[in-house]
Amino acid sequence: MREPVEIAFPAKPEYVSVARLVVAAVAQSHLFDPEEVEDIKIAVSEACSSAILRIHQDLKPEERLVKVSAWRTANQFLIDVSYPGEAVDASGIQSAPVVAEDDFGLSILTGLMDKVELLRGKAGSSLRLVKSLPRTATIR
Amino acid sequence: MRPGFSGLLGFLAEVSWLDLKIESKESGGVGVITLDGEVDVYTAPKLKSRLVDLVDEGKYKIIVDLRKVDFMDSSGLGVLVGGLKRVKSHKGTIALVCNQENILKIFRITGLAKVFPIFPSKEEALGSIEE
Repeated sequence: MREPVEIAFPAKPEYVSVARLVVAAVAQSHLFDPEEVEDIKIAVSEACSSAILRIHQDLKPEERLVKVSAWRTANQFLIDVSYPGEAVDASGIQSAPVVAEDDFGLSILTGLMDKVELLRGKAGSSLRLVKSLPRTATIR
Repeated sequence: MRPGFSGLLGFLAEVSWLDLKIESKESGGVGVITLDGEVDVYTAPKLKSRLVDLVDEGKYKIIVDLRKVDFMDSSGLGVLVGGLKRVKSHKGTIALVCNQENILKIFRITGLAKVFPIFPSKEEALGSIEE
């Protein structure tokens, strides 16, 4: 049964640190070691920063939210970063004009996480980050 | 509160975020920037601004000390790359001081470890940049 920890925050840079700290705390509770927790923090930061850059500009302030959801399965830790905006396409070429840091961001995401998926829905887009759980993690 | 998350509030309370302290000094004509805190999408513009200021002041040899950086993502990398482009147009360079594996890792993953000279100490960085 999926039991996510979810956080929604205004699409503003000052809140990205909150999202990565929350997910890092969740990751710690699933027995990732400090280095893996740090990798997850960086990945969440990258995904949230990317989301903020891509949020549709014509939305009302209360609609400009980034939603982060973190949960585990039997052997994976998954993080969804969802936002009402354009997706980064799979080739890494931006579909909306954003800054060159995206190339670094994608490299970091794919380098630190076991899997990165780009999902597009009716309400917007999401980045799904997947990290295999440590062998010592047990299902609670 | 769910079991396992009882430490969450304490965890958050211990961390000082929204903060990047930047100290600038000159050492033998080399601009030395010392960072303390987190470099992300929110704080990276502060670093960019300081790098731009140094270049405007005619400092084209710059050392950025990352040893007290608690966190860095691609926002920081992008600013450093931008700074490097600026100083290179004046035949300058940026050297980094870093001894933390979590930060060195992102330089390696992105290939930037081959672009920036990175040293474990400020003395070594100064010695290299002054040559």
